[in-house]
Amino acid sequence: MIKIIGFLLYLLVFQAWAETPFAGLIIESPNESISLRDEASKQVVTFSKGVKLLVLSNKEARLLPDYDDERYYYKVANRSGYEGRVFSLNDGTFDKVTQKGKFGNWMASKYISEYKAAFDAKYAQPKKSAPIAVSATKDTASVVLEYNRDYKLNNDETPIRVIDPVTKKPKYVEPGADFHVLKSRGETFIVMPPDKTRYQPYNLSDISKVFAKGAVVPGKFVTYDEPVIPKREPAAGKRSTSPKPPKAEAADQQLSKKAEVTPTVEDSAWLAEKGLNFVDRIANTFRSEETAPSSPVNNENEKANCDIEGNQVDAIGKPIAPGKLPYKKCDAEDDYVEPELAKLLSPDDFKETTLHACILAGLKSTPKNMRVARCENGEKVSSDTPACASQNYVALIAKELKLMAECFKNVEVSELVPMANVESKFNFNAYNMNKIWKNGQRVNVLNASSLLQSTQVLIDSQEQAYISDPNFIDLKDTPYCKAAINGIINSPLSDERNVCERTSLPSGMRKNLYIATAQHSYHKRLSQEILTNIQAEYFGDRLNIFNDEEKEKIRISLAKLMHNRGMGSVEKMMNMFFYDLFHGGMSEAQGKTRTNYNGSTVRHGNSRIYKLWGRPGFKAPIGHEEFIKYFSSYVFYENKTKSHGKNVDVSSDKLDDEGGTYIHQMSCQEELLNKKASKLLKKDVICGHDPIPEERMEKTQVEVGWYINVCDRDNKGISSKRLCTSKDPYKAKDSDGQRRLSDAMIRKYRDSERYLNLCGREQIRGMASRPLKEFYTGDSD
Amino acid sequence: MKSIIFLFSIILITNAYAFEPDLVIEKLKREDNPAVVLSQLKQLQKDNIAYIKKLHSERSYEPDLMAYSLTLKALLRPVKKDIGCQYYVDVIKDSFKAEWSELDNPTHDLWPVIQKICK
Repeated sequence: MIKIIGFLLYLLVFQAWAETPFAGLIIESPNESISLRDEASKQVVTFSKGVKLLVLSNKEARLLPDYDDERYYYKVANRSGYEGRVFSLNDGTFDKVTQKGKFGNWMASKYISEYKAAFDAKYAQPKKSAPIAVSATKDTASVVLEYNRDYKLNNDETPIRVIDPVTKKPKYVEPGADFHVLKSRGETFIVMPPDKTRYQPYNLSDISKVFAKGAVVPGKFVTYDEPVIPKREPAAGKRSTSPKPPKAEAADQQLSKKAEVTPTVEDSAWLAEKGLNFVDRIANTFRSEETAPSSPVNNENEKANCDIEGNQVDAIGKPIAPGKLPYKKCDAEDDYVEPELAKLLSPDDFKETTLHACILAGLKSTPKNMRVARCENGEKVSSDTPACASQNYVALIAKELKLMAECFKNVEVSELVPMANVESKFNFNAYNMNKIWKNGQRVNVLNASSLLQSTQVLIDSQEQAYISDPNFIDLKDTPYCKAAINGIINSPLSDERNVCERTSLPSGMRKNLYIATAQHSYHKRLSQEILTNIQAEYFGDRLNIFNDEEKEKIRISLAKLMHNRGMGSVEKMMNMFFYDLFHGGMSEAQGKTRTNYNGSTVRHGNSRIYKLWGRPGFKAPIGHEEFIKYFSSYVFYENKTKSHGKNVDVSSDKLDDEGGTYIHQMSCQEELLNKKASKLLKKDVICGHDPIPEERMEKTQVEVGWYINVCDRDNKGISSKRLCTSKDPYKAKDSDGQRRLSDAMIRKYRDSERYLNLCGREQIRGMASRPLKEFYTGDSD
Repeated sequence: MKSIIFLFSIILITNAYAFEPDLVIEKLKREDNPAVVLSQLKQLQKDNIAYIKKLHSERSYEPDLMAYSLTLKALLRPVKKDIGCQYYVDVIKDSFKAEWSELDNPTHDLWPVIQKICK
């Protein structure tokens, strides 16, 4: 009888303690999406690649009403709207996707060491039904690891070895000592108060073992504000999904109806019929359904914004508490527009939102662009005095930007704000030093003097059809919008360089803003047309070449690039890029070659880049990140060269690195704006339409660090510096064949936000030259 | 006789599908009637777009022909009745963000034709 009771007790104890070795660990799928069952709705939800999942302990999972010990349970670690919700996957599928001890496609390499012990524990032992030694022999249950929480290591426990980040010497979490575990940007740190140093664990599995066997006592939750080693601040402007559904065009909506699926045999035959089987690998050129990058669908919470740590992030337009923004109080020197501004504002215009914070952050970060300039008797009187970033000034810009964006059905104010901060035509106060001929000399003149002023080139464009022709623009029928277009039609801005006439408030300002916004709207419309045509030419409505959820981002990037490189140029580059991708493998150019007016031969395109199509990083449906990576590189090599993909010198001045690096640099600027606005509000804010992916900004920081600390220092001439930047900083070797950058240096660059402030065109040239370098130089490093 | 008719038909069909924009441009340089020039340019615009589609659908790789036609497409986009000459130049420069002298073929071939209709 005692034996039976003992056996039952043993079973009971085992049931309570049988624990997954993965409890408390984080899974990250770097390359593939993950489909999991939502335990609340029982619906399958697909998470895009990069999502981080916290594996729940069985102890916690057993509290669920439908707990099944053949399933693994997770919480989403970095997606807003899913906090507290539990998802699951059956054990067999987990084995399959992780390829057992090989870690598979679900494990980011940075977690492999953390998982090693867990995998060994899982696959070295019988399945869950067998007792797990650690659980059965201990008299305490496992403890779920919660980050940023105080723990005390048991007195009889072995010390945990950690590494000092500065000296690189070992240190130990001693028995009985307090410690916290921090998770920051995918890395785990140990902090031992009152010391605030973030120590690196010597072996991550040591920590998981300590928690798995319950050798710690949980305490209170803690917060940190003083990181000791340089770390990025809480990711400003990060969120996992788009803040709002894009204003999709009708044609796009039609194409969107087709789900992103793996091509069927029938599809493959159809593609082959179109000649697109040139490398006989059609199936490999599409992502499978389960690996297609996509955001969770059918969930209202999708639209909530959060950073990678799961913190709420405010999108542009969200109300903020009054009195938080540090406006300047104007004085007699700089209050040149204050009286006029006051007349144009109502009390409602002072109800502040994150839009105000973004505008103020932009004004504060570009003081050189803002100078007082008065108009006296119709003549401009310029000054070196900075303009006053007052509450009125910000309120009027916010009001006008918002109202004008609302006039255009395909434009969001969040698209305009990042451009307003850095781009001519949108500048809040364009202190444009335009060159003009005066008395036989080219001299600089101040070309504008008030809010939202335009450059001469924009004034020149007001005659273009897309400004006022209803065939080109799709304007909302509000009094504000009608007044804006009628103002342009009935009394266009003077094309004489009379700044004072153009800058009258509000009519001059509104005309300028209307022209700039109409141009952006038209660029977006043309971008849509380009995407639709490319889709139609190659895949019709059978298969999606672009990721539906990312099309709006692609359209915005194309529209921004058109602003910089011109719409004809971008349209040509886009068509040529896909023509090369899909036709380059069919034959070398042997057809007719037309000649330029001066008799020189035109050589376009690169037949070799067809090899890019279907590689793991470039499969349909194409997402925004891969699109800008490769298309920017194509623009870099092709926009001004006629090399025909042969013998390109990556250090050449002839390469159009302005177009190629433009989108990368805009990302830097936008991220900086996010951070500055977040600092003003002491809360994470996104000023643009979409968050800038953290991974992209980390790569940018490494790129800048690589240029400044290695390429620039080690080389004298610009050519050798550029050859250096064209090498992959993660792989480049020195003359001894050793890697030039250690992992520690890469980590240091990656974590140094200051590099975002330094990302000029030369510094990030490598980002444009590298992706297609092998096809242009034959050198893939 | 049948074979002659067949050959003649083949030639006709081939000619119908041939697209020689540079020949059209050369021909328009000799045309003095602005209305005819404008009408022919509109036709050239349609034919050029059709030709781009044809290049997309063919199993061949003709990057220079494609680049030429894409440039021509952008050059013909603003063409309309009573277009201003300086306006046209400004629009095209803005469209390619380049100086006039840097613009690709057939910009400079087409310009004398545009001058026949612009003001």
